[in-house]
Amino acid sequence: MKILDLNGISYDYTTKAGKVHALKEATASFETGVVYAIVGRSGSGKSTLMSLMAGLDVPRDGDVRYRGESLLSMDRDRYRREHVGMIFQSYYLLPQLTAVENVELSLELANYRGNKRARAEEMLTLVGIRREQFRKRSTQFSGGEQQRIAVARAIAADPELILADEPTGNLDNENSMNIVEILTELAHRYGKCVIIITHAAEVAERADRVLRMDDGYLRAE
Amino acid sequence: MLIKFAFRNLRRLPWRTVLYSSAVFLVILAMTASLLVLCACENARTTLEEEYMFVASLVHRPNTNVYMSDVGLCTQGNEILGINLAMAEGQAVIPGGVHMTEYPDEDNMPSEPSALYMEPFGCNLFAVENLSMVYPFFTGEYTIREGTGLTAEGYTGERAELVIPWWLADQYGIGVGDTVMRRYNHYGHNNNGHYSYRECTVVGIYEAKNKSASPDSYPAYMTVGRAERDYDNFFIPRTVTPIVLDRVDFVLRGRDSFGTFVKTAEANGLALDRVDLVFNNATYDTLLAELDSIRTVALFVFLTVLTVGLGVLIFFTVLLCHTRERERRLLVSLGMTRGGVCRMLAWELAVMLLVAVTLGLGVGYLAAEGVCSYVNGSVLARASASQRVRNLSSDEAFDETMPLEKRIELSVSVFDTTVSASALYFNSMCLPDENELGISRLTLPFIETGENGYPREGIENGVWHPTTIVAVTDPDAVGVSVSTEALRARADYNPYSIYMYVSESSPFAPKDGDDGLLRLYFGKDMQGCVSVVDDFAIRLGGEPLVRYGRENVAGIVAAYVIGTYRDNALCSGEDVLICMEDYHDMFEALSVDFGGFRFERIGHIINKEELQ
Ligand SMILES: Nc1ncnc2c1ncn2[C@@H]1O[C@H](COP(=O)(O)OP(=O)(O)O)[C@@H](O)[C@H]1O
Ligand SMILES: [Mg+2]
Repeated sequence: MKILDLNGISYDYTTKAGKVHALKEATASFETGVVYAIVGRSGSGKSTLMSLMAGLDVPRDGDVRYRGESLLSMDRDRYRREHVGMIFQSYYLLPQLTAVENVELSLELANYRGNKRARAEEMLTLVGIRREQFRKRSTQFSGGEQQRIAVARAIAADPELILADEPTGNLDNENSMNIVEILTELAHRYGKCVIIITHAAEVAERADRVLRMDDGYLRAE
Repeated sequence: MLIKFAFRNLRRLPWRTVLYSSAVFLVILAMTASLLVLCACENARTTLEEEYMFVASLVHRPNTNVYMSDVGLCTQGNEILGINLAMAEGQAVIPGGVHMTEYPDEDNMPSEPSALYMEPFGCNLFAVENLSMVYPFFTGEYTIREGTGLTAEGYTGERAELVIPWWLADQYGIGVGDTVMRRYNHYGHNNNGHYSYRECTVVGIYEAKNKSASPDSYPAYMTVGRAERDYDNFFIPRTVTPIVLDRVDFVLRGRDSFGTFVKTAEANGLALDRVDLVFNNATYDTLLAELDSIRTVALFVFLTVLTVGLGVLIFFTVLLCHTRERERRLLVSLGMTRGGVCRMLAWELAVMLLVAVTLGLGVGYLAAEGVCSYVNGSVLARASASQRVRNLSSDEAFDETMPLEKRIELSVSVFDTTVSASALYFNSMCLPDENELGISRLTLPFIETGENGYPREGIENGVWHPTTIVAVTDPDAVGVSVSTEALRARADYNPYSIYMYVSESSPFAPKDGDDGLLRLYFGKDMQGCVSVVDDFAIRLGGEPLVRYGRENVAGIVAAYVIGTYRDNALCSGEDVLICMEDYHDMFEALSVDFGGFRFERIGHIINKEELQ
């Protein structure tokens, strides 16, 4: 099922040196149950694309539609809280919180109605964190574990769309594969739309479809 | 939720919370403490200025004297708040022998002044305004004998009371409460002198530490107010008799008054080659200098903390927000609004600031009090009664040691700065200007007699009525039927008589066709009094006649009704209006010494326009 559409979106950064055209009329659509990989050189505009898809910013031209509705006319904070889960290269766990609290945080923000603690623990278990580690501060985990906690946080509020910006960039091969496996499973088993930005070939290989960013242009492979 | 997150962050990031709060706390503490100390110093300066008794002293130069007339030359200006003088009364003594406790027998009254000098000598008399400011008492050389119920400080303003030396008490067996006579020699009354005797109650006996000198050098003390009256109204500016004074202390309005004070005195003809005016309020200067240096330090600390501290705080705050940038970005990506993130950070800051500022203010206050008490205990304690003055021997450095200097102590506190000057009573000098009116009031009982002073029938059993006597420096300003000028012009005017005005509605108001003046008697209390008029004594009410002599002897004084006043804000109804000089005469004659009542030359001053 189609969930996200990019309709000719363009985006510019204004710098001292002049305008940087980071995105040039990108058009694509994404479906549930599919893992997408967006590849491209550094500086080609991948992260920019992702922030537009997450509604962190709005395009200069064109629009991003979630289930047919333009993000421009939506409460984008709420859109992120309820429909998007984000994963970053550098995990972004809050150091002052425990593993389980980090996951609970997104539930609290999404105004999750069920038992937040139980849901958070369920998610951590799902990504392979052991129960006795739930109450450890996030900084005490290894990089792979931290990224798994970040994944648990991203999927806790049960969003349809999961955006991961170089989720394996800081991880060794084994941990990378582990994360990709989890993400793939989310798409194939739980029917999420997973979009992974990466420049690791082995990650792209595992995706169902690959798109390439090249100097602001988006093309399907 | 935001508040919960904020508190959780504060708890989970203890080092950050503690460090930031401490920084704020220290800055606020230093600022509060220095600011409070600064204010305390400011406040102390004002208090010191207000409470300090700036005293200028009139002292003699080597081998010369200070005379009563010199005082008159100094009291003309507007700079004086109070005056204290010690008066060596060469002409007033307590006679020895039988005349010490009894009036001279009328039959044996020595007719020649020289014969009176042959009476056994009792004791010299000194008149003082305030006993505690007389040097030997001040320095502790003389002390009031234990158990006599009087302190040197307590001996102020009362009238017709005597403090006698131990030797006189022991020699004649006099105790506190006994009555003795004072003998006066009035020069100028006639060429041979004229003697009068006045009763006086002993209220204290003093001892001297060093009893080596001859008894003559230890005088009895009485108040100047009394002595002045007894000397036929030698009100200070009019004094011509060369009465030798020990020393005169003038309490001035402020530090700056001294210059004007000296100029005025010099312009009035004070002989500065014979006497000297000294102003040695060293303690004030020292205290002020100390306060100023503390203030400078406090100001420096305050300004330093204000600039550096605030800079540090701003830096810390920016740093604090900056370190949360990742967190901010994450929270936004998790769907928290940007405003929400700011509010959460603001809550954290607010809580830390609230705690730190509250603590800082509280501890800063305590610190300021601590600084103040340290300052009190060290710097100011040293400066109070500056060491130099304290070490001076009053006997030797007479001119340099102000009587009050040794007792001044300044105690600085954040909210309650005090200057403990000696609680001395000064007979304040109120000198009304041309357009001002000086007023004093006193309630006395009176009884009516017939014209020309001869008693009306039945007056012996008459009833006394309390009435208020209102004395003014200028009766004409109140609107009286007979002006002062007209009164003085009368053929029967007698400067030694007391004249008064009653209300137009009073039954005592003079009526057309009266050929004499109605006379009212005033007593000092409601008990029986005795009047002796032209050698024949009458008993007025109450007690039986016990004793009589040639003068009004038993607390009664007569006053003539000379005219009327229109009722006004000052006096109306049964009030009696008299001029200030007559008031003083009346006071003198009655030796009024009610408990708590202090003799005031002029009680207060109002503007004449207020009467209109
Ligand atoms: N905040 C920014 N301000 C200005 N230029 C930016 C900013 N972020 C990215 N760019 C520029 O936009 C282009 C695309 O960047 P980005 O989307 O981060 O690429 P990628 O994620 O593919 O490395 C780059 O040329 C980059 O320099
Ligand atoms: Mg990027």
